[in-house]
Amino acid sequence: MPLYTVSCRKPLSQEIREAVSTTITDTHCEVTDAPPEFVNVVFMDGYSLKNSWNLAVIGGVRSGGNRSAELVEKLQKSLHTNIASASKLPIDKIGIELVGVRASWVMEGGKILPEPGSENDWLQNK
Amino acid sequence: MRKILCTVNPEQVSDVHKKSLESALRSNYAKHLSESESLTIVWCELPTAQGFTSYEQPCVSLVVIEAQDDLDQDVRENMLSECAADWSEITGITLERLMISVFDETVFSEYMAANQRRLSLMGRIQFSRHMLVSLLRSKMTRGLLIFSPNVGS
Repeated sequence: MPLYTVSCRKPLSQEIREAVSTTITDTHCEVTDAPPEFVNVVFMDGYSLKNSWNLAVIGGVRSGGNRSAELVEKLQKSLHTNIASASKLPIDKIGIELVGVRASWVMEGGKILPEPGSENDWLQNK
Repeated sequence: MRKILCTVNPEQVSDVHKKSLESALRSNYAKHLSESESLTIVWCELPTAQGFTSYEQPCVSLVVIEAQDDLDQDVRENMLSECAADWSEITGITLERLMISVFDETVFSEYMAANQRRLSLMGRIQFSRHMLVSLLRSKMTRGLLIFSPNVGS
């Protein structure tokens, strides 16, 4: 967690997939201070999206801890801008929705994930 | 009816693995969450090129388990720990290559609804048809409920 699901009308080239995956990972880590090893990005294609979008992103992200409403809004806006740039699409052709999930509901590496903002201790004790 | 959604790389998790994993997931579900609730396990086979974890391919295996709201955290952690251990033992995949979660049903439903909201009306019809055909076909030919994340494939 996070898990970002990127749905597209048509298959993206591998170059664009890598660029979008990289920018999502970079943006998530820069805005939230989460480590990149937590970030998962999956791509799906063949979807008829609403609002004439070419690309729709759903992000399942940890809630609580240091994740204020302002930080989540900043994350959403930054992702929107940066994904548009990486995918070479107009910003209005991209939709983004974030869904908050409690860290204590998720296990990675055999351990329950830390609350947002407490990653360093978790990684040191891993 | 509760659901478990498993997203896996088909090159890493075979059908033999999937059938053993289904038995383990059902057993753990009955032991920790509910003996009476019916359970549907669905597999999404994600091609290597379409998944990234920490910038790299392939993506780790992703498992989302639906549970009742306000589940006790000790129960949740016991469920997660046993399922993760079984997953690693059956597939040989290290725990570092597995993200497993137990969602309260309200959040699970919200997550599924978000997947529907991104689609146009035609998109919802196409996706429903894709799922129905994929799941029926895979159940008959492979004995498992499997779909491709790519509509039309």
